[in-house]
Amino acid sequence: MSQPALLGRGLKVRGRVRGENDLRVEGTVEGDVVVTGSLDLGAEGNVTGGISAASATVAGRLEGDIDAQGPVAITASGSVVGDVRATEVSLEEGGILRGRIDADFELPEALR
Amino acid sequence: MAATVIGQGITIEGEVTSEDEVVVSGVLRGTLNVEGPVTVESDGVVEADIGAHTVAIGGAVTGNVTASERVDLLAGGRLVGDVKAARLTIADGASFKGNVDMDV
Repeated sequence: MSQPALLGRGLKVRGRVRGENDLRVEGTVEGDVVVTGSLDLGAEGNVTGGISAASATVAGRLEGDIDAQGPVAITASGSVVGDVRATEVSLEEGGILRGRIDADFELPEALR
Repeated sequence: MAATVIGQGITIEGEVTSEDEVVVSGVLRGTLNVEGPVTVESDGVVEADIGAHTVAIGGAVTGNVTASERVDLLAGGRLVGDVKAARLTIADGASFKGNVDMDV
């Protein structure tokens, strides 16, 4: 069995990260992160660059845009400076978002 | 579990530094500097110069390898590049092309 991909604490990447699987980031990435699975940015994680993923959970710090095919969750410890594009965006109390949210959703009948 | 696992299907292009162990089962191109052990698993591909305390190579590495302690080229491992380390083992079934500097 292959181990899940994890960029751990103390790791620093300056460059591009691509993946066909899920990825958890607890270290620092200066560059774009593109995964076809879910991206989990841990509380200690720090990304400066754009993120593209099927879905994303941000508990760390992100300076850059998120482009997700599915949902994006920013938790209480998360901080995003950039635009978020996703099917659903959730922002927990305490979480920080400075940017635009672009979520495609169907308005309920009464609001159309 | 290792601090960092560059898992199967993951490709990193750039400069990678770590204060902790790094295991590569995916692809890494650029440079890799680790204050700890580096393990390149059998499906791992590294096209980078590696600097670390110890380096174990079970996959394919193209680049120079410098270790402050030791380099182990495991069976099935493939290294094209120069090795600089105090200790080096090359297992039966490993392939290696390059120079060795054991700092005598």
